[in-house]
Amino acid sequence: MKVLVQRDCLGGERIVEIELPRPVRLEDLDRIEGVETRTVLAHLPRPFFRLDVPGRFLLTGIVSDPRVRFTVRMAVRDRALELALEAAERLAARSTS
Amino acid sequence: MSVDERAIVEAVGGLPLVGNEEGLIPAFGLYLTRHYADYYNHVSYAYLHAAHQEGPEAVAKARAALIEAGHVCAFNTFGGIMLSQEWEAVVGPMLSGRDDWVPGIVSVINALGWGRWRLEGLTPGEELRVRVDNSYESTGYLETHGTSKVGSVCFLATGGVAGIMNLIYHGDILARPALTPDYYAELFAGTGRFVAEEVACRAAGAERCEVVARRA
Repeated sequence: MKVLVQRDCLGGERIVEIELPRPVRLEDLDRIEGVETRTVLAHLPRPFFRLDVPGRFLLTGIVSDPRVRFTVRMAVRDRALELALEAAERLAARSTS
Repeated sequence: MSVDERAIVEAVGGLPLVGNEEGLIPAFGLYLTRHYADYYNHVSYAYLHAAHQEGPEAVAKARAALIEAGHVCAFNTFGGIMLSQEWEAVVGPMLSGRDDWVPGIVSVINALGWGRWRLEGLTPGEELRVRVDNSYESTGYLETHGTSKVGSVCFLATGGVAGIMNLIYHGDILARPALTPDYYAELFAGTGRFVAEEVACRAAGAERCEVVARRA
């Protein structure tokens, strides 16, 4: 996985962009735990998704694109990269179904 | 141009732009604020009026500073939006060339509640003319102070229009640059940059607000 950590506009390093080894599929989103709000704009030519996981991060990306972005919560900013990588591994994991 | 503003406004309007449990609104790869427009107006116009008590030099500095706030906003907010996944997903498929980025970002602005922006004219690389029918700045000024005796008052919009041109035609937002302080200085302080002027303002008696950006 290719990782790019970005400095956010509040002065932290909490925005982590990761390029997965393969494009994201819609069913991959089911493997992210703790999602409170899931938005998928499936009608768009490039379907945008946004998963909000309170206490951890906001995950955004585009279905069929390997790049995802984690905006990690202030409360866990020290673990931003760790949390993002852990969730990215889940996203890219081989489906068991 | 192939940009469908209605589709963009609907799509952006479908995004849950609400605060999280930390009081932040992460969207477009940056943080949005739900700001009281009246509060921003109050602070801006108190500053402007105080400058008028001091004389022309203070007025010039105040107006420049208030427009500069618009430049900073445009650079970070419009620039951040144009680099975001939301942009790629919603606006990206409608863009067939650099010139389409202008109506693209104007459409997104129209989803943010700043007033109704309309493209009156675009000469690529040379001039952008934007009409704003109900800018929150002129509306706020009229409600609080009545007709302006201090000239045009839509400073954030003025800086914003210059910012659009600087991001798209003076810089190259299409190349996905990092939005760093150095890049800001290059776009907004260097030679060949765009500057904007509000040539008509509702607060000063015009029928609508109109901002024109041209190279300095």
